[in-house]
Order: sequence, then structure tokens, then C-alpha cells
Amino acid sequence: MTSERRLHPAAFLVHALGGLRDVIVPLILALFAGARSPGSGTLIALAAVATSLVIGYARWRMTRYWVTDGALHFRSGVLSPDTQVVPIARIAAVDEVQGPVQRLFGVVALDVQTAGGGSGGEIRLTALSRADAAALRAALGHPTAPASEAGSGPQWRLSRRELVVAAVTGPQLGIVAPVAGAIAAFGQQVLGNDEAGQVVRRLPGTVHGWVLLAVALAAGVMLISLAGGVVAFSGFVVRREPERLRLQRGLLQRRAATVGIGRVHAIRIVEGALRQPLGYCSVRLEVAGYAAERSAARTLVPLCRRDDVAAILARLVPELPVPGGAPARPPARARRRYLTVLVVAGGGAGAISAAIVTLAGGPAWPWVAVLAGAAAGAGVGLGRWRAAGWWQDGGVVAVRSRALLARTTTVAAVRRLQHRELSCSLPARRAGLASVGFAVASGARAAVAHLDRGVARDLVGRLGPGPARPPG
Amino acid sequence: VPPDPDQRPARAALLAWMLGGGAMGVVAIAAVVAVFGGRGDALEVVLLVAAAVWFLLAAVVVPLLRYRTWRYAVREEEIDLRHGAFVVRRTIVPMVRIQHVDTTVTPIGQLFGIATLTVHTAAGRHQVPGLEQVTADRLRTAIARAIREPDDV
Repeated sequence: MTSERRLHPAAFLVHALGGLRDVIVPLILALFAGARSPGSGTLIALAAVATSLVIGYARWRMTRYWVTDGALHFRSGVLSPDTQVVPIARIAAVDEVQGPVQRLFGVVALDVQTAGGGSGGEIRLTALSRADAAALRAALGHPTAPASEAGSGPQWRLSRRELVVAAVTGPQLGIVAPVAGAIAAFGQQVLGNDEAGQVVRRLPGTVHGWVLLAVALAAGVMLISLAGGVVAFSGFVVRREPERLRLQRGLLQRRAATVGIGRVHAIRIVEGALRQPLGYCSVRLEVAGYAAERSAARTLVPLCRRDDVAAILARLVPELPVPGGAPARPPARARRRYLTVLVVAGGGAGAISAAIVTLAGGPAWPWVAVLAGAAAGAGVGLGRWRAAGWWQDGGVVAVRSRALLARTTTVAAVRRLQHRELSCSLPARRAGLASVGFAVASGARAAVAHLDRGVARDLVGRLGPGPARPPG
Repeated sequence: VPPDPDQRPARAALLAWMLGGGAMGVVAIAAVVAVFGGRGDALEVVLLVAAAVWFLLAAVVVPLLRYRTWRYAVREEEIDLRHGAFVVRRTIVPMVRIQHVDTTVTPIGQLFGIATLTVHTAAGRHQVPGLEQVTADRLRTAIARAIREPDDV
């Protein structure tokens, strides 16, 4: 396929609506401002719509794509057309996205992802007919799934019950944050300062009122995140083909991603604070070039029982076997190393907040804050200590650790580690301890802290890439 | 584990770092004098002392610690870095994982003939500071030759 091609005309509408979405807040403000003189407000709105349509049409007219010399070429831009060239060998994944507009016209958008790309596709073809999409995918070496194969090969789907549990226990903060931000920005712009002052005056003055407000806010966030989870993961199916994983998900916006199995450098089993007590976890893919994506885009399994994860992954990604059995642990003498720094830091933070409250004339029980801070630090430290562990067997290394709340197990192929690290602070060194860490090509890092120094050095030695690859 | 890295930064790097850090400290002191100068109150004294301490740290302590703790080795199979005064960190980057390599020279580095070597992997970058320019160029050429076969991320 060498001839230059245009996107499906539906791209015109997608671009126009995208342009309108960008100006929606100023537009609404203009309509508000124009409430006193309806004529001018309507005029502004009409002008915005007309401009979006013109720009959308121009963008569709100016956009071309073609495949030559083993590379995808993409020319776009209205005022200063620019051609992007992505070598086929560098394409990590091709995602198929169907938003509401694409569904209306029966077309798809293709996101072409490369190892170096940021969030979203390196190149996004906003609308292609099914036939064009299939032809392009074939040319890029990421063919569409043949219909006959849809039922064969290992696959896993999210049940309706699991979808609900996943949505309730795992807030899709990626969706909540922009919504909250938009509401806040909108409120500020519409209300202005005087009205904001009135809102503050209307805030509850009693403990009772505050509790009600907090419950209402929590319920609101919960509902939004529940809806976000359902929208993101509804209909989630993952299929394993010999060379790739095929992931489908989404309610309003159907996404179908293909990830070359060679691009998967590690998997992460994440047990969130709400999920671990219930025995649930989720699994994320660490794919080169996907580091900046929203978490939903990197999800291999949105929710499954912790006990089932090894069996599920053995079918989907047998290249990275999840180690069974108990992990190797840091020595008992390392326990206080996990606690000391956090207890001191927590106590310090408590002392600072106590000092601020006291200076501001609040109730003066500074010791309570210091103790609470130290206790919180100890809690986090103890959690980390109990989570810490590692496995290393042949070509696979796994590390289990806890950040603040979620417990994460990172399983990586030894020969694909980007670098490895041995580190220790001076006190830990005196205690004969050292930490081991590594990074994979998605940019993800994992580490297990305060191992016996000899064990740590031995582990770092075994995490080398092994003999150099044969040439060619 | 490979043997500990044994190459040190160039001696001129110590001077370059001291000059660079000292310049920052001088700016800090000058800023305090310019804004609070002549008030003669406690705040001015406190800020002056703080700026002086910072000058001492930036111009003497940090460069010395940095110079004394940095070690590196460029081997056939890997690049080995060790640095840090309180937390000692040893990083081993396999040669086959390196995507590209470059050297940078700052204006102060130019004065002292000092360059920084940066290697990039798919997971980020690693820097070796304080190399003589000829050393940095030699290492860059050697690494570039060794990685001609690209990594398949």
C-alpha cells in the first residue's frame, strides 16, 4: 500500500466536535454573559460552531497517510502541514478506538503506539472505514483478528459481577480528576470571587453539617468512580494469539488494543487497599512506550481473585510465569530499617502540623499530633516490611513491595531489564544490608529494600542479561 | 557481581563544580543583600547566615563529596556507576540496553575541559559527570560502536 489515502469523511465531524469541546467552557460563559442581550450570545455560539466546522473540514482535507519504505507516513496540519514518519519496526501496538461518533458512522480510529510515545497514540488516525483500517493494519504487521479465530486460543473475560467489584474497589481516578477539575474551574469562572465568598458563608457551621457534606462528597466521588470503572472496563475481553495480546474494553468508547508479546517487558499484579482484604487483584502490562498512558490502557486483567492470577497469566502470558510459593524475605534484623525513617518522618510531620495549629491559636495538644504521625509512619513501615519479598528463578525475577497502600508484585524477564541497582544508606551498610532494584523498558521500577548484603550482591549478579545476543 | 567500578572524575571537575556551586552561593548572598540589605534586623542576619551556609555547602562540601564518591567503569558488557555519600547507589546498565549516547559541555565545563556523558535506555538516562572532554569523547565513540546493534524494545 503506497498510495496516499485520506481518512473517512467522518473524521470531519470528529475534528469539529473535538474543536467545539476545547472551547465549550468559554462558549458557555459567553452564553451566560449574553443572557442580558440574547442576540450577541447566540451570535458567538453560532460563530464558534461555524469555526469548528470549517477547521474540522480543513483538517480532514489536509490529512493524508501512506505506507512506503517500511514506514507509516502521516501528514496533517492546516496552516503548517507536517509529515510524521514512524518505522514499522518501531510500532509497539495499534489500538482501535470507537467513540460515539465513530460508532454512528461505523468507522474506527487507529492509535499507532511506539516505544517512545507519550500518552495517546504517536499517530492517531481519527476515522477509517473498516476496510481501510484492516488494510492499514495488515500493512503495519498488526492485522485485524480473523473472525474464525475469535473463539480459539486462550482468552479471559471480565464477568458482570467482577466488573461491579472492580468499579467499586478501584476508583478510576484518571476519570474522576479531570471531571472534578473541570467542575472546579467552571465554578470559579461562573461564580467569580463575590459569589465564591457567599458559597463559603453557606458552608455548614456545625459538626453535623460537615459530616453530612463529607458523606455527600464521598458518595459523589464513589458514584463517579463507579460509573468511570463501568464505562472503562465494560465488556473487557483479552485474547492471546501466538504473537500478540488482543484487548477489548469500553462501554461508550469501544477500544481494541493489540500488544505484541515481545513488547511486554513485565507484568504487575496490583492488590489495592480495598482489594487485598477481599482477596482480589488486578494485573497491568508494562509495555515499552505505554508508561504515560492512563492505567486503564495498560490493564491486562481488571479484576480477578489473587488465587487465580497465576493460572490466568499462565494461559495469557506464559512467557512471564508468576512465581509460586513464599518469596525470599529480607532478614529479621532489617525490620527496624523499614520502620525507623518512616516513624521519624511521621513524627516530624506531626510536630510541624502541631506547631502550625498552635501558632494559629488552635487547640494545643502537640504530642497527640506527633504520636499520630509516628504511628502512621510505623503503620506504613510495617506494611512495607510485611510485603517485601522476591523470587528469582531462571529467566524471571519478581519483586513484591508496597508503596503507600497497594501491594504490587512485579514480574519481569531478566534478560530484558534495562538496568539494575544496588544501594544502601550508611546505617544500613553498617548493618550489612543493601537494597536491590531494577527498571524495565516502560520506565517502571521495582525494588526490594534491606536484603542481606551478600544475598543482594548475589541477586544483582544474577540479574545480568547473560551472554551477548548472537549477531543478526 | 562485576568488580566495583574504579574510574574517578577528572581532577579539574572538582574545580568546575566548586566554581559552579560557588556562583550559585554568591547569587544567593547577593540576593539577600539586595532585598534585605541595610535593615540590620534579625531577619537579615538569619537570611545572611543561611545564604552563607548554602554557599559553603554548594561551593565546598557538595563538590568534595561528589568528587570523592563518584566511580564509574565502562566495560565491554556493561556500564557501571557508583555514587552517593549517604545513600551509596550502584547502577549497572547492560551495553545491549543502551539506545543512544551523548556528551554535553556546560559553559563552566568548557573553561575546565569537563564534559558529562549521558547514556539513554528505554527506561531513562544515566549520567557520568566530570569527565575530561577527551575521555568523554572516547567513551562516547566506544559505546556508540558497541551498541550499533539496536535494542528491540
